[in-house]
Amino acid sequence: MSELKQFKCLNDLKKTLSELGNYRARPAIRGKDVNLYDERLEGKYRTVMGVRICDYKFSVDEKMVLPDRQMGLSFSATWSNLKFVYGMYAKRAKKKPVDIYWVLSEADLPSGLKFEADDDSPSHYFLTVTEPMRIEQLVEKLKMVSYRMSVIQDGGRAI
Amino acid sequence: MIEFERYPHINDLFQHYINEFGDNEISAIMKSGVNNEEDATKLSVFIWKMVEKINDDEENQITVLGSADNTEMLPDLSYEIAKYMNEVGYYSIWDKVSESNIE
Repeated sequence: MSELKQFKCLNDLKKTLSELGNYRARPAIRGKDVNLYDERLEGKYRTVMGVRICDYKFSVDEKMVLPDRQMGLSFSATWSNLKFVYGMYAKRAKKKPVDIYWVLSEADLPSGLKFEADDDSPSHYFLTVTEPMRIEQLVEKLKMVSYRMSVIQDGGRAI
Repeated sequence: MIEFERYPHINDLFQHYINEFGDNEISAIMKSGVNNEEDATKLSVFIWKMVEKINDDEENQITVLGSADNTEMLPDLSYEIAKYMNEVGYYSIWDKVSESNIE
């Protein structure tokens, strides 16, 4: 992580994000991986090596991920898009810190990955693949992105 | 009928919590779609109630749809409902109800 910031309330977070420029952000409950998911073996929500079937276009044998400019991990590019996602994580009796991970849109993504604007929502982006790659390669690239992301830490809540 | 396509598990999530809350009104709105401001308000209020229950169920380790933690579906829920409310022209109601639900 190259940079660490903290927020105590939503206004803090909004202000910090407004100073970043063209960010792409994802919230994550502390302790969870920001780009890879807990393994789930069955159903529409299932994962392959931490990548959700619903997020990328998989080959039939599910060994490869194929390019699709409207398929990829979900990122917010504006406060209006991010605030309700954050709010949903935060709406709980026993508070858990919800950190915001971000990367600048022009940041040096690993080869084969690209942010594409969502055709249905201009304030939302997908982290797409631009070339066919093995699922293992995608996982490695997503880990590289995680490593390069900065975090705005939720400092106003305690477990 | 309201049917979410990008994240189809959200349909299952709705079905589970409509059944759990026994909410016939929301069940009817899901079948007919949002047709007026009142429907939009009721659905928006229900969604935030559902969000709280999803988080509660995770805290209490209650298994829903095969998992004791469905909180990772919350961004998908936010995405789908914002997209739907935009499409039917009631995003401003979703926005207003949601603003009153975030801290």
